[in-house]
Amino acid sequence: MTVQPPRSPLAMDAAQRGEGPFVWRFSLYHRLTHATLIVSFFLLVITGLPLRFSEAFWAGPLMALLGGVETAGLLHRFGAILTFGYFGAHLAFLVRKVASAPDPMKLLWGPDSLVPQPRDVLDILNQTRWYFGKGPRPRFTRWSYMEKFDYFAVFWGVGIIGGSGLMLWFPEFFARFVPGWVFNVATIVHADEALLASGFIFTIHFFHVHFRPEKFPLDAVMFTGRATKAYMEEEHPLVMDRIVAHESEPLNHEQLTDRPAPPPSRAASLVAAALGLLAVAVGLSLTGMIIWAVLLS
Amino acid sequence: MTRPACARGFPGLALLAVLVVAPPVRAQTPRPSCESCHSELEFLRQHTESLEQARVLLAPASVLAASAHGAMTCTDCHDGFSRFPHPGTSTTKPCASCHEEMAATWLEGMHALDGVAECRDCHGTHDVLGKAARATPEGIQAIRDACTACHYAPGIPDSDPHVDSVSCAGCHEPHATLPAEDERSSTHVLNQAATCGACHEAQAAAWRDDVHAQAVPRLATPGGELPEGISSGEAPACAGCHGSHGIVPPDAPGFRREMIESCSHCHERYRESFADSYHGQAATLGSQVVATCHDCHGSHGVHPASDPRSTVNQANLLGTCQACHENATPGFALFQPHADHNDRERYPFVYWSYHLMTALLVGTFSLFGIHTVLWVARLSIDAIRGGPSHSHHDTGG
Repeated sequence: MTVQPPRSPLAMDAAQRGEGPFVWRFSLYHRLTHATLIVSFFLLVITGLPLRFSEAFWAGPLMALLGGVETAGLLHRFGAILTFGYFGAHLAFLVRKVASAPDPMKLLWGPDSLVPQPRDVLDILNQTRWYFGKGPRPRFTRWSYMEKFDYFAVFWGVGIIGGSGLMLWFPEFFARFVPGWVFNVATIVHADEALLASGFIFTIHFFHVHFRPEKFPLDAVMFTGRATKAYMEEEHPLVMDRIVAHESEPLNHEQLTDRPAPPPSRAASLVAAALGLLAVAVGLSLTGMIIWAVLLS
Repeated sequence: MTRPACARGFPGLALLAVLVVAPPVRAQTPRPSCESCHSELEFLRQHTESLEQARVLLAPASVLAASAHGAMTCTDCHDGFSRFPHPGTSTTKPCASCHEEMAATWLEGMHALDGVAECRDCHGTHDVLGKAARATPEGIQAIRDACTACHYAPGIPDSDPHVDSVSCAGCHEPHATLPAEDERSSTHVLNQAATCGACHEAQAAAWRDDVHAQAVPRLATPGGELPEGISSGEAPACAGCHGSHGIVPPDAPGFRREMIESCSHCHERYRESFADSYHGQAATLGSQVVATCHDCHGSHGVHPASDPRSTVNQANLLGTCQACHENATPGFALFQPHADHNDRERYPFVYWSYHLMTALLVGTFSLFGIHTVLWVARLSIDAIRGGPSHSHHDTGG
């Protein structure tokens, strides 16, 4: 591997800890998509949560802060448009990627694919064995089973929450095709699925990505796009093995990732860490509000 | 009271008045006018023992002229004072000598008991206001001041639209004053429609025909059929829903929420199911456009759904929805605004979607919660043992 210029890693970011050099893990497209997802998701949760828990003590003040129910409703619909935007763009991205890939099967199967495979079932079993001290910790490929779950959860979530949300946005149109009680069902499904999504992101996803002792307090790889060799050996050892084996040529067919990367600048690292910690803080606050409302209802 | 307070304690006044005022008066004909003495506070004070006494005797002609009794002379009321020097004690004629009917009505009310509040306690004396003057904002305030001198609670807040337009006496019959629990009171539940309806004619007329009006006589009976904790005075006549002192006007931001509270006071079960719907959630948070109780059920003409006149009768339901949802179709009206997710018989789809979603949430969080807790536990155990817990290569198998 090429020798990289000296760097001053931001130790707070798990992806910058340990031995270098840096490699690319997420392309600019991935990072922008995830950033849009974060913005739209928080916008949707913050504007939707007070409705779901309208009788909680914090619901009224939060709505007032947002400019009232009507304004919050507009912001919520704007969040929905952002969501449909990145989701549609991603579907187009997938089609184009599969169509243009020299070997599309590599996208749909194998160690670089996001598609769940038998090895994930084995990983889950081995992870469980490791929990009970019955085996070594499983070594993941490019995507661990947790990451695959996170990825496909977005498809499920956008489908269910987005579909029911559209029905509630345009009830008069949809009532031409379905009976009115479907909107009762859509209200329940929309609210509970959204509660599932936000609760999952703010606890399980945050734990897996940021709060694990080896990553605490933050992993900003999705913001800076790059991680150290040590990080990759820890989180995705099988990818690192293959990068080392194919040192001369990039492993990833699209040549967007796996290449050696310059260390992120100090400024970029700090901005990434600040945004990441802000998102975590807001998410945990919202979780606290949800728990409070659920316990007191 | 045979000897008014004003006349007590200064029998020498007449004499003094003679000594001071008489010479110039005597020099001129006609007789001294009442005004000569009774329009100057300073003068009166010099001839009385206290300022209070002087004030009682003060009756400037201008005040009398501006009052309801402007066309009358002093001696019309102060009998026996037409000659000078006049008696030292007042022989004021009772108001009843002219206002016979009012006095008779007053005798029926609480204010007549032990003479707790007589004519002048509310109307004043020389400055008594006429009907037209009482209807001005100043007149309304004067009446309120007179009432609140004793009835300082409950007051009427400035947010109440009646504050500038209706005095206490507008609703509380002023002469036969009776507590609201008394069936003869103008504010008793059975009489509210007549009292409020004096101004709010259309609302009172619509209400007289609706389900609440039919229920009030039954509900207003002590020990009637009202839900627990609700007094008969809170039966759904005017005040039962709108309150009394502190009525919220329909165009005020708080009105819609206020009405939800009023309706759910008795119809609590429907408030709970309403609160689960978007209508209810947004209304709770202060939306001014979402439908609340009266948007669908009507306000002063509420009829049970079985009644063809009801806004929620099957025949009228779509039209009610269309008041807001212009393009609503018959299928749209199959929405269930009061769906109860625990009622499997009436709302099977809502019941099952609610319970399946709950199961999905509990299941997902349990599964991933256990996964996370075990993860933390493993790392903690390894850390305590001092082993390099997060190296994949060194963990023994």
